[in-house]
Amino acid sequence: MAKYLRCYMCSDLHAANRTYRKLLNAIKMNVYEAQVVLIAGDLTGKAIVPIIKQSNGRYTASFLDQHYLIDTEAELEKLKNSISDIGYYPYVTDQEEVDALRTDTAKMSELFRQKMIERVGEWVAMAEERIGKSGIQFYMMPGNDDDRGVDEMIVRSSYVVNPVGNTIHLNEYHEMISFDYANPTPWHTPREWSEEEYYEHVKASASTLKNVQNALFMIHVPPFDTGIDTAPELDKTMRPKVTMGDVLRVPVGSTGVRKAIQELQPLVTVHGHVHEAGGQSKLGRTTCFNAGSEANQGILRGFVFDLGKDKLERAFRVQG
Amino acid sequence: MEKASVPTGLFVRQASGLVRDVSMANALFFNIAAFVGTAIGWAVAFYALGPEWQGLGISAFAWMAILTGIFCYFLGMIFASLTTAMPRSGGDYVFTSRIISPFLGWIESWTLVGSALTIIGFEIIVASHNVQLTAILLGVAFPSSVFHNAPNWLQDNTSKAIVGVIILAVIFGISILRTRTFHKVVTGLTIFAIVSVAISFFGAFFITPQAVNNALPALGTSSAQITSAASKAGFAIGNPDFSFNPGLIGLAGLISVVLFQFIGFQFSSYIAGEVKGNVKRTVMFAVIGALLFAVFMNSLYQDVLGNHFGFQLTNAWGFLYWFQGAAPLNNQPPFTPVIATAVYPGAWPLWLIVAVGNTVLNVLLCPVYAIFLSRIVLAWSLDRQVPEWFSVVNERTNAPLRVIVLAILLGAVFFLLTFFGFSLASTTFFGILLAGLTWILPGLNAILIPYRRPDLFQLTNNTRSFLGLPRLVWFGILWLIFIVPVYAAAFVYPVVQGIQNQGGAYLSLSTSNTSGIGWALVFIAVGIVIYFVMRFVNATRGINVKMIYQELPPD
Repeated sequence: MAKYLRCYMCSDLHAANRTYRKLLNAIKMNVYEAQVVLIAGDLTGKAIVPIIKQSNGRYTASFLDQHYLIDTEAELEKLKNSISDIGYYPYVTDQEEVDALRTDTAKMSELFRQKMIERVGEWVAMAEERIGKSGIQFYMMPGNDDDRGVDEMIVRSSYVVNPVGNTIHLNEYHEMISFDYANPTPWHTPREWSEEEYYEHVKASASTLKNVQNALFMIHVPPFDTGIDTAPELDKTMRPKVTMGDVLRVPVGSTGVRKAIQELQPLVTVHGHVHEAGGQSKLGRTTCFNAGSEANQGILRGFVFDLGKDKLERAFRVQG
Repeated sequence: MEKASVPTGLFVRQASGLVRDVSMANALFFNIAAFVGTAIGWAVAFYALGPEWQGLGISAFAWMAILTGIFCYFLGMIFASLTTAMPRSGGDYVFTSRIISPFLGWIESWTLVGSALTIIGFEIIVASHNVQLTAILLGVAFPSSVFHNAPNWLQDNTSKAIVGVIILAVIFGISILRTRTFHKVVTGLTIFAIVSVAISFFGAFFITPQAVNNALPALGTSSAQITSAASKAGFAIGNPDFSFNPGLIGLAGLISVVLFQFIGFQFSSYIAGEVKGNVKRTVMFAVIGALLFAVFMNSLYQDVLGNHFGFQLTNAWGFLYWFQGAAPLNNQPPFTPVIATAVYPGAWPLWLIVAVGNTVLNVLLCPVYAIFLSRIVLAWSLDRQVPEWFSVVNERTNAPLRVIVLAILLGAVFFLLTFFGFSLASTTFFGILLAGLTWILPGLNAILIPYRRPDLFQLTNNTRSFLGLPRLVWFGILWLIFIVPVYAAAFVYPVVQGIQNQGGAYLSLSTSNTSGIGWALVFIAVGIVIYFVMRFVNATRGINVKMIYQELPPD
């Protein structure tokens, strides 16, 4: 057996196809030489771009402040790929349906749900096809933004593993427990726990571990006030608070997660959720990582870290 | 559980970069505080460092400051653009290592760090000098006080060392403040310095060359004495000379002095990873704002002072100070607050503010440099170019405290070296020689980024084309058209001449050799060795540094 277990973690890919393909290529080309790959939550995107079929056979779309007129199928495919690459969902439709969707929020929600599930299904299939036989452990965890339907797509996979709810044995020394929820957000996303609930869930799961001090916790939300959880503060109208032209920033991580980590002191924790606060931090003996995310800009940000028998051998930040 | 209050505010998420704590105002004043600073009181002293003439009533120095300002606008836009694409702390190192090569990024930033350390050492000496000048001002205002003898202070190593240590303690105290407090202190002190600039600028309108002539006896000299001594030593105010030598070479030298005064206007790019809010807008505002201030200080401000205190007189005095060691007041520069106090002794409190503002801005450079250097070293450390030990962020200060302390200590070493025969000229020339790559490579980065890193180029704010080339490429070309000839004329040319005339002695490491070139080469060689040693160390530790820079094809 190797002297250490090399892990690669990233997070918050938010349906960005181009970044996800970079991840699969990095694994396929063994760029990071990782034996374990962890995606720490938030797989789905946040916008649908309607591509409207016109009566003359052409299509029109508005995307990133540009208006598109599409004549050919090749152009249509190219636009769909561009939209998917940055994490949006292209949807070919007609003006009548667009008008209906604008007034029917239930229908819109269902369309979003379909698109999210469809994209995660595509990602799982792509992983099976490209790296399914690599022997690399590939853990894909949903996050608080993700509809519950996406879990089913991962569970069906013969290769990709959703680690939530299970104690995963990474190797003979290290186990992993995973949490896809966030602490309460202003948007009331699909997976949120109160701080007390979060603390209790982590404590309860940790009790299943043989050696918690040698374990890895994959928790979507970072611990509170660790420097890897700093985000803009919002006012009551959900707009960032600005003073003298500058956005105010506050720690937004979970106090429950922080309390659990401080008490349990696992070897390593990996997080996502706060895109702009990538970095690493220490809580006692625990090293906490947040890779941050610029997935929608096509940048894959991650951490490579090596787990020795009973210690973190090394860790370094990478991006591609 | 550790006590931690739950934030009352809500949050949004955005994919903009790193954790940020530096406001737009902080970034602007950080850049201004990075200026050499002495221009407030010493402004007119710099005339004598190059061709001395006035065209259309504007001095050669001011013309060069305006020209430099125009081209530095392109440099500023390059920094602002690259920061937008790579909003990380580390400045040039991050840009060059990602766009051209990690090795070149390392050497560029390594030499920049060497250059900056010499400037810290230089500033400690200049700060001591400014403390003395402030005391001289008090001596002029109160002739019967202990300050009357101030021109004779700091003549021995012990007193110089004591003042130097006190200044170092002040620098150290500011540098180890919490990041947020540090920026508040820097902002507050810089505003004070700007107030002193305003007092000096508007105060100059109440001074006339005749009034200065009448007041000089209070300083133990006279206009006739100064101009006569300078004339005997070869000083003469000339007419514009645009021949290659000495006219244009002299102007290139003058531009290098201007650039020395401008250094720092882009330094907020080095702390981009901590700039909050709209990074593009903040960095651009801070860079362009600081550049405008630098152009003002080295053109309009300087010429208003020069014309009101007497252009010929201040040039002659500067000449005696820089080249003869025989200036009035026991060889002091033409420090305008002292002269103005001699003209209007009753207005001494106002001119004392100017003198103190001059010293404050001068001292402030050191902690600002320590902070910006620490961010470069932090970026190195994150890329495993130096051991992780350097990147440990202190929980109290929220900054890499070890590097900050090291930067001040190493700057102090350059200060101490002056007690062992190192001259200021050697130190500054060494520093500017080392900074060569950091002046030139930003232009290359701007030209190459669209082709070597199209993914990053798309994130910059200058992607639109003009005459078939992206605007950012034009900025790079225009900057190189300016800086390469200037650097060649002001530094490469004298080095080549020095080697031709003196041979190996010019490269000597002896303290009697003031060229600094030998030490610059040693410093570069040490940098190259460190780079390859760290590659070896990383390889033995199982860290493949190539992974950090690895391009990942999506398909």
